[in-house]
Amino acid sequence: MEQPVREPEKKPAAAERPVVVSAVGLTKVFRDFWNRPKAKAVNDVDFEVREGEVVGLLGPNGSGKSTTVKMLLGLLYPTGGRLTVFGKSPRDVGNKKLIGYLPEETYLYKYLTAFEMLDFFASLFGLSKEERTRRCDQLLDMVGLAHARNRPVGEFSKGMARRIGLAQAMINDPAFLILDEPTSGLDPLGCREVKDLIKLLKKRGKTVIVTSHLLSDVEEVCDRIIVLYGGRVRANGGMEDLLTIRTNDTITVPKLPDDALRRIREIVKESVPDGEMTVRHPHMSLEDFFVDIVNEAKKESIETSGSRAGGAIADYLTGGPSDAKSVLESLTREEETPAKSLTRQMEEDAETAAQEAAKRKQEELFASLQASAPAPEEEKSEAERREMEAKMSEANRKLMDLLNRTPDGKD
Amino acid sequence: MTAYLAIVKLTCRSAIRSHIFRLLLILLLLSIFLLPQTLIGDGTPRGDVQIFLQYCLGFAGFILCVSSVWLACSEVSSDIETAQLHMIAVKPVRRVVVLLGKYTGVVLIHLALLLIAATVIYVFLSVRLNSSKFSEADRALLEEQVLTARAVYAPERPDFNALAQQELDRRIAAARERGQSVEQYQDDQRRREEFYEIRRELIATRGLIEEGDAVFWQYSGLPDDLDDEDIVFLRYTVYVNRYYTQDQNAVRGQWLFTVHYARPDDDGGETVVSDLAAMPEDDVLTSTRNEMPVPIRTSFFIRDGRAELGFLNKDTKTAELNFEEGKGPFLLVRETGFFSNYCRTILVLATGIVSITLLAASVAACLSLPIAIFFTAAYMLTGGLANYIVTSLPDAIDYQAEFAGQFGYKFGKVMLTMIVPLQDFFVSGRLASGELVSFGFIGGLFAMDVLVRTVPVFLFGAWIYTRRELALASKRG
Repeated sequence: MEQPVREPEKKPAAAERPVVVSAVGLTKVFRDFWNRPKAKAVNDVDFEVREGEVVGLLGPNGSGKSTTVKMLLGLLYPTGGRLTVFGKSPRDVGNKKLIGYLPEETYLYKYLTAFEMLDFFASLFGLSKEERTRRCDQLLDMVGLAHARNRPVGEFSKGMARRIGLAQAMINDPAFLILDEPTSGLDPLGCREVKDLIKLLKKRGKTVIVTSHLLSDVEEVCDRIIVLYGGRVRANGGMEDLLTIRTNDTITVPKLPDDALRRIREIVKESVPDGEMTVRHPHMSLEDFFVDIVNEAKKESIETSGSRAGGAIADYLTGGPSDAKSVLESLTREEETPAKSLTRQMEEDAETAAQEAAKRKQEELFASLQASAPAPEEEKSEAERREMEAKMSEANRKLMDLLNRTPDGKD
Repeated sequence: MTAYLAIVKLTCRSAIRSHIFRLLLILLLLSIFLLPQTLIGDGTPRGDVQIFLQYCLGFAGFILCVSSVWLACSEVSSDIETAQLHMIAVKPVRRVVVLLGKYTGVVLIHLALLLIAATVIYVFLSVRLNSSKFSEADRALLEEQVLTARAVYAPERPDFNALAQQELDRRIAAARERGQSVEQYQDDQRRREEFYEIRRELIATRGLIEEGDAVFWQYSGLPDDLDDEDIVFLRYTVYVNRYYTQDQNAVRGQWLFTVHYARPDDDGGETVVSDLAAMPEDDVLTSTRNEMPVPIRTSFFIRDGRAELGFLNKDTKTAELNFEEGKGPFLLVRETGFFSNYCRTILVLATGIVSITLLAASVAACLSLPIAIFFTAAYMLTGGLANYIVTSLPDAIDYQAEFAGQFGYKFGKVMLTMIVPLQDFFVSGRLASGELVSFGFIGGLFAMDVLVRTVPVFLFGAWIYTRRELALASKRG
């Protein structure tokens, strides 16, 4: 049975983690040649990004998200307000050792080969030649461009350029990553890999800001979103906070017999007479479907040109030597320290216990639901009907409680 | 340092793999391989070699200067416009390091090309000299007048202001003696006009020689350690009458060499004695540059670093001969060999590349690519124009020139204090004439054209570059 317990919105310690980005009253006014104000791209914006968060910066074109990102990188300077990254000015050169940036368009030096380009960017971080070579090779393998190592990047397709852009953004194993439209131009397989990579980075405690027009991507990877419009923050909060429709419930169960389904309909109709109930089969996303097809084809060794599916995650990104596992497999691994390992083990144990408890309770609940399924109206007395209603109400309450509970059993 | 070297390497790679640079490289190769095959001098071995040196080195230097301007502007400016710099600016590298890295890359690649071009031209010259069947006389002439490095000594310039003042005072005194009115000289304006008129006349007639008359020039600062084996050369251009013409005539004249020295007299004191040595009367070609070895013992001719020579007009067909003031006659004394002078010429070109690239990079750090190229080209043209104005109107400031002349001269002077004249770096003409390119000259060029004129511009450009909002200048993203 599918795990129906909802993920926590935020780890309890999130608010206590150090602030990576702090914007207070951030304003950017573009001026014309005569210094007259031309456009207010960002208008009195306040937000914070804490360590380990994956934050989505959303907004339509012209909403100010690119301007905000460029201010974060020190490519534009704020007209007003205060903006700090790691507690310092975004223009602080030392800070940039901690930052990785994937621009919306990957501005490549077209005459360089893929390896030369990565090597160049690695040099800017002052890495030794051996370290540069090691990282470049691993990153090329990771983004599926090992076969194009010596091809000029000017010959790359858009997807390949995005992949090499992503590789350069991670050459320094950044603590804070800014990804501007990271999945733009990538095929579904690439999209999946990028999203998985973001999840991996999150597991390693990296801070990530993602801007994207593909909202499903953002929804999948982000803990929190900031929605900008007209240069102002229109919404800022946890994914669950902002997206949960509190007035509806969704219950996922194994396929029910028609009779049970009918009875559930009746219960719902009884509980919420004006409400509308929809029953349908869940379906996989098109992306999952596509990835499955490609994986099947790969098993049959069908060759393709251009970029290929990513290989092993670079070991310096996972914090240890690379094994042969694929990106997806590697996602389960975390950067380990003895303390972290112990904490993680405890968390996992608690999570497993809570999930099992929840699973048991859910099964009992559905069993009781089925057992207490109402008989035809004409066969019941008024007293029985009332008793049934009370039981259903109790069952509903328990179900709601259960669904709102976190895996570790806390509300 | 790793980052700096990476940017230098990137710039070199960018240059090598860019199409325009390759085109300029082809032009450079043409200038050093094909140009020597197509150039024909005046038919004499000396003329051929001179033309070869002057044009090949000059053209190669010009191509490299154009290329360095284009590449510096392109590397710095287009990187900002295409937003490629965003990828670098978000890395832990100071922008000034980025600018310096790009500058160094452009300079290095051009210096390497200059070295290659210079080597090829030198090898070509050597092959040409060895394979040609010159007569002994021609070969000797080449060795003495072209394949050498001679310091050039110009005659001392008379104090025309003092002479003009003396002449003015004499005229006033003469008028008083004759009982004429001197009222005209009491008005300051008119007196000044008269003074400058006299001065101009003195300059114009300084080298004017009527038939049977002679003019003498004095030289100082000549090396006093020369022995009789050292040959001193005389270079001069003489015109018929005071008006310049390209028409060449053969006129008769005679060169005179005088020496003044002290000789002990019977009273125990010293008497200054003048000796005169005259060259045989000969035909002299007018309106062209003549050069000849001085056929007098050097120890006789040059005493204590001083010398004096004169020209006696013996031509009966023409009214007067004219040695234009500022154009000689010059004495040339060998200082070093041709190879050394050749290397110095290359060093001057290298200084030019360093200076021009600094300028182009700093302009491109502030402006867009086409404007940066236009600005740099305009800067260099203005420098050239200013230099032309100032050298062609040497005395404009002194006399009552027209307003335009005065303005042009002052403008040129002001511009030259700030702007690097491009022609400063093209000394292949001097090399081809066997003139020494001294280290003093090179040091002066470096001090003035690089340190004083260009480095402040570069510092300003770097300041703007480090402060500007890169994303504002980007045409993408």
